[in-house]
Amino acid sequence: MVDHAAGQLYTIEGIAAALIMLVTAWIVLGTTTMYTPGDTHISDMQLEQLGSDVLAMMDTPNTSLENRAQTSDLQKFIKNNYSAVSSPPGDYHKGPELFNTMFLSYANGLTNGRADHLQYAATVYYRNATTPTGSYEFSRTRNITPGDHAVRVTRWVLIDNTITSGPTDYKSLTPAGTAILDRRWQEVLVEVLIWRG
Amino acid sequence: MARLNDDAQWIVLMGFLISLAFFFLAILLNQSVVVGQTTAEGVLEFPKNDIRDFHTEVVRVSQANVGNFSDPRSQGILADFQNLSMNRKGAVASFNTSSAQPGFFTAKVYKINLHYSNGVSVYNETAYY
Repeated sequence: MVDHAAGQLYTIEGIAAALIMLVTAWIVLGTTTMYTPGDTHISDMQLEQLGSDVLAMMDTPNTSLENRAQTSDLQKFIKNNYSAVSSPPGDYHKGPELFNTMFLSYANGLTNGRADHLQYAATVYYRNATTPTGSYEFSRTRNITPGDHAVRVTRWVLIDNTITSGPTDYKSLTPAGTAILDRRWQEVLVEVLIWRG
Repeated sequence: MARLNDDAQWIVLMGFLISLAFFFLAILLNQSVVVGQTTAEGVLEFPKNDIRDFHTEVVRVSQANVGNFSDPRSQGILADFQNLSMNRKGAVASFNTSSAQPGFFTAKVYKINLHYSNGVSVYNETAYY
């Protein structure tokens, strides 16, 4: 190289070209991103937020919380779950049915006018004098199957189960016909599994 | 290209710049696929909705006891919160409600204390209404 000092420019150009090709290959390979099942956080988060918002909307009274007489729709639905001894008057047994209608209309509403296909299963968890944590099924669109990828959202609901009005043969909040909730003001936890199906 | 043919260098330069632009766009496309992933993980990890819901319910409980801050019904409700929260969410939840008249208020107001901890996130709050 000392006595034959020609062709450096070719060498430099060759090195530059090699670098450019390497960088190209590196960037091209890097542009491919696989969306793997491990990345489903994003859609999970959106579904969970949607469910929380739906329950929050249902649990908001029409007027201010400061008025103690105001109860939210969700409170009414949970409370009006009396199993009828005979055919009940009014809405005392229609809680799950009305919950189903309202939940689906909120959750499945899309901006393009069509409906989404969300499914849910709602369960009520309670505490009474004998059971630290008990539960009963409240409402659902269908059974969850092993392939369904569900997220869980919850909402506390304050209900007045002192039963000062209404027919006396409606024992309590009794899906199975037996009184399972204590007769007092209490908090129950509504858990809703939501999945797309 | 040295000494081979020195014409059309502008075309070569433009081609090079355009290829750089393509690289840049490809990087944007690459990042866009998982945009929001870290945010989503953070949202799922932090029990924001649980804490908000808990706060709302405590306010509701405190205001359901209008004029009677030491209503015994709130004792059962506290146990409800503690049991269900521990068994269903693995979280410690506790609260108390009272009346108070801090110096900057002209009348008695509701006072609530919240405590929430799921082992990762701990939240404490004292609020006046």
